[in-house]
Amino acid sequence: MSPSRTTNAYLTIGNARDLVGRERHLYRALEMLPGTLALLTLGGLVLAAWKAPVAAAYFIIGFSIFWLFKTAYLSLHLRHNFMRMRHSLATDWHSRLANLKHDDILHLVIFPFYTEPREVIEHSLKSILAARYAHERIAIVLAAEERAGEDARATAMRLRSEYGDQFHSFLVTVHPDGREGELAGKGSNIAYAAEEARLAILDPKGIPYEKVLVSAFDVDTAVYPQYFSCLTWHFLTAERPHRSSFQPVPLYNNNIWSAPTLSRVLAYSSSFWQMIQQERPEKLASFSSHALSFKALHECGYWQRNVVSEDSRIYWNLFLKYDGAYEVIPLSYPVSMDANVAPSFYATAKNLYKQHRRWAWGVENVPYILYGFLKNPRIPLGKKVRAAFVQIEGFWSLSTNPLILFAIGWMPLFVGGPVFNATVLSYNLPIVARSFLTFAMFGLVLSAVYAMRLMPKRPEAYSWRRSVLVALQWVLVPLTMTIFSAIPGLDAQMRLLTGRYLGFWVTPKSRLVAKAKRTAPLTA
Amino acid sequence: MRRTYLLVLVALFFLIIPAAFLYASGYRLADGFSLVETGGIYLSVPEIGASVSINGAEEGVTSIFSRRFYIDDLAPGSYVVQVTREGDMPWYRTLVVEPGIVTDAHALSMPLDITSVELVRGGTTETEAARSISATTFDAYKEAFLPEPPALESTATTTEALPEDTSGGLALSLALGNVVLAWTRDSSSTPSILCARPSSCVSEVFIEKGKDEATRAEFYGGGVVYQTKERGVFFAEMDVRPTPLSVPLYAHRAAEFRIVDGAIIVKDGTRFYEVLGL
Repeated sequence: MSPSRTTNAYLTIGNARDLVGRERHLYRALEMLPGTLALLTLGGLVLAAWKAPVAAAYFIIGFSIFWLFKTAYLSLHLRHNFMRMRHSLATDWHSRLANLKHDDILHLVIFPFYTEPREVIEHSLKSILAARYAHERIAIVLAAEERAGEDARATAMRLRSEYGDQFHSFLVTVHPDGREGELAGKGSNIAYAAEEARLAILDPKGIPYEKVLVSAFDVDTAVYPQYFSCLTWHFLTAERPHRSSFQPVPLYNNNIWSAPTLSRVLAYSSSFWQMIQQERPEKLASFSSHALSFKALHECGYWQRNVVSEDSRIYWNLFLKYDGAYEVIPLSYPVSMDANVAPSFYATAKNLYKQHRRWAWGVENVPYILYGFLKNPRIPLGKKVRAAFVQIEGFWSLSTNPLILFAIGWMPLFVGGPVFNATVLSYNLPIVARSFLTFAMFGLVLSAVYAMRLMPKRPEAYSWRRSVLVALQWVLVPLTMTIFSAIPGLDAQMRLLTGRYLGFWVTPKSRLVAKAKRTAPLTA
Repeated sequence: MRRTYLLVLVALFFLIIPAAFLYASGYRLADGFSLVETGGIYLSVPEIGASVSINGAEEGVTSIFSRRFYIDDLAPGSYVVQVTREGDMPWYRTLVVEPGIVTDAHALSMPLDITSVELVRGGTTETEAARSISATTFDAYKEAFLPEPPALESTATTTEALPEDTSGGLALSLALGNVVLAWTRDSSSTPSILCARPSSCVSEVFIEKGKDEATRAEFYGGGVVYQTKERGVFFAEMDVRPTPLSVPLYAHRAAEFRIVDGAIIVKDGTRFYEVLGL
């Protein structure tokens, strides 16, 4: 069926291949937009460095100053959200619910998994049992994949037999492999699981969809004690609870002390970005572990089964479906996941690169959003322009800014020619730009402070030297920004530009259980 | 609150941008809040432990980590740059600074004691004045001084002489008994050694000019080694700005030199000498 032949068919587009004719060409052009912008920027700067080195030098100095101010601006947001999160962690959300009718709210928690070890899933389940919320109001769905084999299914069934009676329900689903129109991955799996949960849990028990809150987690997502209370409170007090997604802050604390330095820096960089976005909810889209009402989820047909970035895509599905009247409510309350750990440094670095490329593949939402805006005249123009700008600018910054600052920015000195190289400007360019960037890097001191305060207590297996390393690790940020942020971002955009669509890649989860390195139970 | 932060930062951004551009271009505040466009001097010094001063004011001493000096905030004008180091000849250069331009120079390190030692074929001589070298090496040096084969009959229509030596766009040639240094590439990339001031460059300059007849010249050690019939072998610094170093290496009439494997070998009659210290 061609989506273009139905009214809202554009809502389920995965990529240009889902369209035909002129519509396909249009969608392809939109897919090429982010990569083209990045190439024009970087290529233009290289050309300017060669042909107009003076102009390029001024641009680089100006950009360094812009970066300093942007960093300062974002640091203020980070500080605010850090304090807000501390307050949120200290708040007794459970007591706050006392005056709100909430005993009819059912939490449906979906854990998609592939071949992750049992202890990863068990850790997540135990965190829910440790949460301060009535377990009989929490239903668990372990969403296994048929292609993971019988062992995975057996693991799920064993966990059900051990923990099933402690929850409202405990459903194990097995997502069939090779279904037409689906991309193998988390989106298709949890969409299948949600529908199975509706058929097996909600409908037989007559549970109204508007009373069900779905938390779409990763298999390693562990909740903090008041997650469900906090979520329920925000849901019940939201202006439009069925027109809102709820976004916790992703921390990667499950194994943070045993993770390599590189993983730690990238994990907290990601967390900090989410914390900054929580202070700018008008720019926030759902990411990774998130929650929303089953009513809204069901009305839009669940997460898209044909995309990689189902976590952010669901937000845009709902944004378009409800003509722009959909938002993300930041919870400023954390959930904890695993930092990337692999047996060797090389394997860790490779996994980190792939993980960040998959996250950067969220750029596939840009053509989707723009195409949807063209198809939906009911969304106010101002909202369209703002949303489009935020998304395009965000992905453009991701793939170009670090490269401009730390690589291409120095090109006028090398290709500017002897006339430029004899000018005071050419001598001062590295000095002036470096000065502003150094000031900008002071923000890393704050990052180190916040990270130390967000991390769980250091396990006894590690000495004070590990803490020192944790504080000093932030000097790697210029390197990680370029190699694990900008380059995977550019990689993703080039793939989209050339039509080499990315498939879903499962981040390997492994816990170093030897030497008692498992992180202590989560505490607020 | 967010809007306040944003407005303040945007305002600061637009205030700082023009100031940063002007500063980076060399503009500085002068008396009476006027702006003056300054220039700079970039000096590289090959040795550590050398003291650098400009117009008598010390700028610093070179170290293993720092052998380059960038001195900015210089008002346009002439500056005498001096580099001194124990055991070396003092190096002076008068550099002209122009607005918005950095004048660069490379200080040459010239030892005070340049000596020559006679080379003896075979044996075990090892004194201050002479030392033995293997027969093979001695013969190689001797062969280097053999007359060069005559050039093939040229079919060229010009009478332009081939350069004696070339190095990175610079060419040495002999013209009417003088040693001429020329720049062979685009004039926009003329090196600063051929520029009396940054805005005034020439395409060629005399390394040696006078009554003496120069018969050979080669690039060596950042300068030029040349020989004259009348006075022997010399080393001269390449720079049109005052005052380039020029020292005798072997001051003896009719002495010749060759550069063999990085060594300056002098032939004086039937004897061979190696110049040391350079």
